Amino acid sequence: MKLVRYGPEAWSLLNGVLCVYKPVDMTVGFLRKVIIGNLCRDLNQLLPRPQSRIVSIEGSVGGELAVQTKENFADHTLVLGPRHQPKDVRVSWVYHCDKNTSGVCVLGVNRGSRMTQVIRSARLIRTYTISGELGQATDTHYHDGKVMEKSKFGHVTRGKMQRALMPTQAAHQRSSLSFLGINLHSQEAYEALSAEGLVRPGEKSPPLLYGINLVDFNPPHFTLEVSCINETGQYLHTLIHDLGITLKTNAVCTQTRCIRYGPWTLQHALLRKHWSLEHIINNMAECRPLVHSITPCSPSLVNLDEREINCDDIKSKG
Amino acid sequence: MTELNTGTECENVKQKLNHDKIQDMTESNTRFMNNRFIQQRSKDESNLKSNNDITTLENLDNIDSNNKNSFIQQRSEDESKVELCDSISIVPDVVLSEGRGGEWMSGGGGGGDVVLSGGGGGGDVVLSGEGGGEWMSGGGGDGDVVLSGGGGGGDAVLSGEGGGEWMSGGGGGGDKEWCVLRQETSDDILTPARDTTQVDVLAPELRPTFNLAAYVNKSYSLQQCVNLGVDLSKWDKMKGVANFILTRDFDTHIKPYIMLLTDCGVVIDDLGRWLTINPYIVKEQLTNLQARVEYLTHMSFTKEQITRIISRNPRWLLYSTVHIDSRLGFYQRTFRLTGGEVRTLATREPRLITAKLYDVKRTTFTVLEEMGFSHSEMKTLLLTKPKIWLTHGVSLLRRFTYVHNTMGLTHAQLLHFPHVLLSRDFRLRQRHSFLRSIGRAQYDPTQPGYVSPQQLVSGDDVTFCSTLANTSIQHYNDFLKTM
Repeated sequence: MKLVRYGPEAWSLLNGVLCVYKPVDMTVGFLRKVIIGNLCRDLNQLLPRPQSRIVSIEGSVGGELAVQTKENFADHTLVLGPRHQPKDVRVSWVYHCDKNTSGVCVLGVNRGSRMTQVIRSARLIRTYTISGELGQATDTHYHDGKVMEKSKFGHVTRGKMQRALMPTQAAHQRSSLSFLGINLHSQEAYEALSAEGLVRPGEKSPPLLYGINLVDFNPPHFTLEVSCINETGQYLHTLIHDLGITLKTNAVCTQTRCIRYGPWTLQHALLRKHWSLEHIINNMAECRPLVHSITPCSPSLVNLDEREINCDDIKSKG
Repeated sequence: MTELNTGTECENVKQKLNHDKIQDMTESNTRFMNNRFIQQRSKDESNLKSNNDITTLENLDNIDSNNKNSFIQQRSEDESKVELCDSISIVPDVVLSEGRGGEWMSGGGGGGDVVLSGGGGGGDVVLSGEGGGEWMSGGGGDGDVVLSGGGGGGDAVLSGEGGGEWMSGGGGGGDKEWCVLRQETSDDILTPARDTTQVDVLAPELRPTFNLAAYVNKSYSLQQCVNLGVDLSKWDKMKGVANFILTRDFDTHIKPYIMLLTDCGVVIDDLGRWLTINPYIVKEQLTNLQARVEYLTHMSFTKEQITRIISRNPRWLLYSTVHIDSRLGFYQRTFRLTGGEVRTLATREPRLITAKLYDVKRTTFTVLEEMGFSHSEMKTLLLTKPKIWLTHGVSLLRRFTYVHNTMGLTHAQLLHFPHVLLSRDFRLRQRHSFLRSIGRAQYDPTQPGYVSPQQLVSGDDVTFCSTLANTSIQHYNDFLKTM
């Protein structure tokens, strides 16, 4: 534990990766703006860098020359503006979180923004809880859209829904092999195919689902837990919509919440009220070992750890 | 005349205050005369390009300008030829412009005018704005050629308003006048011979700049402003401020305004913030400002009220008495207020009186039509929470929709707790959905377990959890991570 009162000292600590809880209805760009604003506000409240002085030489060459230091107005806070300004802080995100998606969002601050590229290239699995509502369909497949269709859902049971989910999961596991990024007739491909467990795509791929669980079924509301890679918010909404159609009714997505991104879970995520300098610096220290634990090796041949998909440990904690 | 009761009475007020109007009208004449005075000075000033002492212009008056001008004209003709060869070529009747040059062209409508603005360097930012336009509008005589080579040095800022009159003075005869301004080197031939024994003048001249920080160490006026607490970095971002503020001397041009403000009751410590928000006041005539304060006294505002109005809304004094009077009349008519209520409203939220009329009308429509308050309810809302009218109508409606439709607060309850409409969106959502999840969202005072909407939106989360929700803060935080 260390007490920091001096602004530049706090600034030097402000490099690293940070995990926040992104609220729903907030774009990542706006989130970045809020965090940068908060950081500058808190940094400027600390002890500022002292104002420098200038050397002035006065008098005439022939006569007396007086050399003295004077107050440098050009370095005054009121003239230059606050010592720490929003344009000085660099913040970048590891993956683009949809506006309607809440939950874990990993950001890099200042020199830490270089690490976001490393994390992105590791192709980590994300886990979402997706809530849906049976009985209606909207134009955007999200609950705030215009309702296009309504239908009965009395016939849907937990078993039927689970059976409808299975083929989707199986199809994605098969297709993951075609996005390995290697020649299928090579030794590498043989090893990948014969490996136990699942493999990640080695190249750009469409969204791939690694696990779908029905965690809550309370008609008309239900909640899925989905582990996936390369997904978008819109894709997850469509997943719920298609599920509704498979069940011979309609369904609309009411919430998508990211509960895990690789090693980052909800426990690491900072709530909006904690987006202040002190919490952010502490959070960076917490995230540092997690960043180093990520293996940057070629992902396609690495077997996915079962623990990475199975979220039982998160549920017990969260 | 003590109360503003009807619209017709407002008209009477206008007539009574006719002398103010006349003053406002004569204001322009006086300014014109003043400009002639400045013009004479700026003529010398821009020739000399003494940007070390830009604010103290008095000492420049001693120089015999006639001799100087003829000399400079002669020299600059030769100079311009050289300049043209290595930088740009003149095409008659064609306006060449680079960088910010476009702004200048708008002013110059003369037939045979050639406006050259070469090498638009950083200094053009300071140069452009009002300065450019006035310059050309002044030099509108046929056949005038205005050249601005180089990047525009220190005198880019110097010229500002004065530049235009300079050209109009010179171009009145219809002769071609070649004015080449070169600031790239300090050994400019246009610079008068200076006492080289002084160390100060040996320093290189100031380069074009984006902000006032470059000038602050050499300008006594700016230093005084900083000592007052004015945030010059804010002035950098405001349009046109640097141009006129550098030509004002603190003691002669700014001090009288500060005296006026302190007479009105603005606290000394608050002056910095005040001038940061409204530096444009030094462009106004003192007599006009006095008339505007006098108007408030005339409308039987008390001294404390006037102090509050002027301190809370620095921009108030920029508006003419006619404008303010029509605004007060607007509020009186739209909300059917009595004279006393108008005064209370103006004192409670002076920013509302000078707010954009469109926004006010938009919010009024939201409150009346979209939210469904009655006219008398709207009046109550205005008098208890005038700040509602300063918020954006759309976000206000969004908050109301949540509070009224989701939380189920009635219009009568909202009249009791108008502050709920001003609280932040996410705070309302978080707290209400938490209370709902633990079954405590009960806003009906006749039922047990009543939660006050006022308490719901005030205080920090720890207080909220201990007093209203009766849970631990950890429980609340865990809930927030499920939203």
